[in-house]
Amino acid sequence: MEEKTNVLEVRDLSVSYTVANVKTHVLENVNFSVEKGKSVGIVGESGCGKTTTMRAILNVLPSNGTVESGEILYNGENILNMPNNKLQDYRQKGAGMIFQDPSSALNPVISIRNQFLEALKYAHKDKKLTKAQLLEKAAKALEQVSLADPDRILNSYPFQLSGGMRQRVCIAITLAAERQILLADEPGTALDVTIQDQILRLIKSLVEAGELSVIMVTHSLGVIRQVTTAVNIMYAGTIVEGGDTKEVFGHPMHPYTQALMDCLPKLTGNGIAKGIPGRIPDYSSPPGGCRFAPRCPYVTDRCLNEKPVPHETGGGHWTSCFKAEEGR
Amino acid sequence: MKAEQKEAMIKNWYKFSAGGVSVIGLAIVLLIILLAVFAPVIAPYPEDAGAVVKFAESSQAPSMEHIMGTDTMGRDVFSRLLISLRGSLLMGVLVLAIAVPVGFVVGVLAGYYKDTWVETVLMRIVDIFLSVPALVLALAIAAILEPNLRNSMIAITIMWWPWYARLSFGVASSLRTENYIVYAELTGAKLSHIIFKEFLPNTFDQILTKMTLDMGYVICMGATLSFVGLGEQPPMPALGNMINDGVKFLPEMWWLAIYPAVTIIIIVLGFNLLGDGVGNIFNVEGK
Amino acid sequence: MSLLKSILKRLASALVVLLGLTIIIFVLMRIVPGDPARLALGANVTEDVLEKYREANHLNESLPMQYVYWLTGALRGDFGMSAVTKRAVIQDITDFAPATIELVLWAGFPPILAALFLGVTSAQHKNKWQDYLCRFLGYIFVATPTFVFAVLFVLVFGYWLPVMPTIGGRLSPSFVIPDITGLYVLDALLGGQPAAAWDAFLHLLFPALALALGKTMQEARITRSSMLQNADKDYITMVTSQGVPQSVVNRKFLLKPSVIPTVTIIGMDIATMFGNAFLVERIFNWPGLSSYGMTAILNKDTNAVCAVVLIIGLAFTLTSIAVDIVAMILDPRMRQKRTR
Repeated sequence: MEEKTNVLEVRDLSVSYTVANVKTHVLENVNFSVEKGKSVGIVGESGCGKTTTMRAILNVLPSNGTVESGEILYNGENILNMPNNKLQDYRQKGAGMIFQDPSSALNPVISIRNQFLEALKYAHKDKKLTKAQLLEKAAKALEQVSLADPDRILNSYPFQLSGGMRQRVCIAITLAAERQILLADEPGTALDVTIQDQILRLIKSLVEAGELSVIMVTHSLGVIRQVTTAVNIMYAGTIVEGGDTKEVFGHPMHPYTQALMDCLPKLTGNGIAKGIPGRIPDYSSPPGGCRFAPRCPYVTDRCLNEKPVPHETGGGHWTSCFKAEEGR
Repeated sequence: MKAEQKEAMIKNWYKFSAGGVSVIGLAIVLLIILLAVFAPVIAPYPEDAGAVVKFAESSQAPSMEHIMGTDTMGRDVFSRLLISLRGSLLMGVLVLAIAVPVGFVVGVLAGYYKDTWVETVLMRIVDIFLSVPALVLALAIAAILEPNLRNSMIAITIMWWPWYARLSFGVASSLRTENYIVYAELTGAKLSHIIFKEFLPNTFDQILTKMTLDMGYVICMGATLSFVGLGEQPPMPALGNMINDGVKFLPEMWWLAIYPAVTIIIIVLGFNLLGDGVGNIFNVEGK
Repeated sequence: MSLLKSILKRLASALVVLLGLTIIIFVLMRIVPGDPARLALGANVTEDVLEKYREANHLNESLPMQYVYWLTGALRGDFGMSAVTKRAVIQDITDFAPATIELVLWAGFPPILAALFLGVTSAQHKNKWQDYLCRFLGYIFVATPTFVFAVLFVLVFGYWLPVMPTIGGRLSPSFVIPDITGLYVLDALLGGQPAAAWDAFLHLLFPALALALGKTMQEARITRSSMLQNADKDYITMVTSQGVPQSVVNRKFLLKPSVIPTVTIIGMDIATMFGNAFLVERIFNWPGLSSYGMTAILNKDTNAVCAVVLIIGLAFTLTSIAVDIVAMILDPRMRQKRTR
């Protein structure tokens, strides 16, 4: 029964990039799903593959990225081999993304108004809305993200807005499309705390109203705790632990999750590196066994040579770790 | 440390050769330099670079003895071409050796003193030189001076430095509010320190890329001046005056004009390809 | 409003620059070794005649005063007499300028479309044969000096495959066309003589190609690389991810930011053509301002040299202003940037 309510499922997704003729295996067998009307978090350090996962979900990987294996199911259909018109349909009404870097996500030579109109025209194409109605939606979305003077914003070009305003415009464009799924990649990191909080509340309220399913990508455990009901812990392109947010945070089982919790007070962009010895492995030649093994305090020979598989510990909580599996 | 340097070099070589063709450019440029340096040794008839007349061998089509034929004086075109490479390369090196430092200092000063009279004066002067096609003013200057190789270099240098001034100005005016510049000022660094220790390393990538490309273009402009008789004077060979001599005998004695023309194309092509590769190392968009 | 202000600012700074150019030209003119009066009149005139010439041309005044006289003359269109043609320089210029303008117009504008087409095609077929062909030709053509193109064209299309009507001139002598604009192709069409227009076009074709080829391929290369660079930008990924169809993404979101770099260098390129025309006109015997200027330079005809350099500086400056305005219209960011 639970299976049926999943709007999005990522199954065994592996993605590689080719940089300087070298293949780097960025994502390895990523599995997770999003239930309708729920919000799921993905947590991990910078560079662990969160953004790549988001881009793969919309099938907009950079030109040097390839999906090696796996499928991404939207209402049961794999978007990775959809015909073009269906894929467009899915992007228009299925899932939309708030980009991490707002300064580069807006076209520098097109007015905000036209960027809204183009995006909304396709997102709402079935409703046959007039231009005025689309602009009304745009203005409403701008107000929702606390931009007070929508008319002025719509008449501007991106370079005339501050960084925080641009980020909120990006969020508004994505929200105004009213899609089923929202992919939020570090939303609001460039904003001041009060506005970020407002936007998180807005997203949360939309989820609670049952209108929206959300995948929230962040390195901030606080944001995850505030907004999501389920969480996946990502390390070096693999998901090491997942389950109900409260459960995972209350009883972390993977050594990496435990380490994350331990360095919570100083958890910022690069604080983790100080908190957990070692660094994310080289993706061009990742460790043969568990990817966390080189940094893991509980490492055994098995960890170095064998890949751990997900191990259910009850209540939908699971982890990929031999330590948990062996009950050490 | 050693290993890191090696790794950095491998990485740079990878970036350099990523375009594929930069390696060809490097090969062309190395070949041209070697040919120019050893021209007197390689040239089969080195004496033909001067005022020599060998009527018995005049106007011969390419053959085994004269692989690029001979001119109306019976001089070996291949030998003259090899010797002319020296003047061309010398011109490229000398023009840039003067134009680049002058342009850099002017541009950085203007950028550093942005929004003051220093910038206004310096950049207006730069603009004036850029307000007329370089070739036109270079022709005019070269014509007013006595026509010879040295004066054609002077004329080209006068027209070339403003480009480097503009480039350095762009970099310096965007960097001058950076913290490390402000810090240097606060600790009482001298102006020369700020220019050469702070701005120079930050402009270096772009300047080096542009210099590589410009070697070809300077040689090209030098050939243009000598084509109209405002460079190296006969009987000494230069790429431009050899073409000019050859044009009079088209189409029958095509080898007189074609070989020097193709040589110029290869030289400029070589430096262009090399410059693209250098730009790739520094992520500088070549232009 | 801000657009208009930027344009006015641009014009004002151009005025200052042109004034500076007149100073440089004047200084150059006075550096010429020898007595200007003697240079103008030749060796076999008496001292009396020379003195009269000096008096008439203010050559006895101080240099700054001479400059003022020269400048005020130049502003009225009086550049003195040409030592070569023995006519007023301004008359020579008005006679010869239309030929150069026609040549540069043809070499400058139609090829832009070719450059954009090649650049976009090349980018869309990245690493396929179309792309390799464009890039290969691009490298070769960019490396070829204009005068080498001209020489090769004369050899190939003048002698080997004689498709050029004649070498030299703008029109075959059998045609007589009305003098309306001075641009022969246009005049012939206005006069209802399509055959003459075609003949004038054939005369133009190879000089214009020689002028244009290198620049065109350069522009194509820049278009290609900015298309490819922008295609991976977040703002393109963003609209693609919003389900905007690929053709709309390319047309509305990718093309505009990608052609801006091309547009900004087109100004420079067209302006440079006025310089390269010096050689092309000479090699093709094109009776234009540039070949007039070239003759003047080689004969040290200072009055004519100064006038030609000044006129070309003016044309150069006006062209780059026009292109800057187009760029400002295309790119809102440029309206705020310091113009220069």
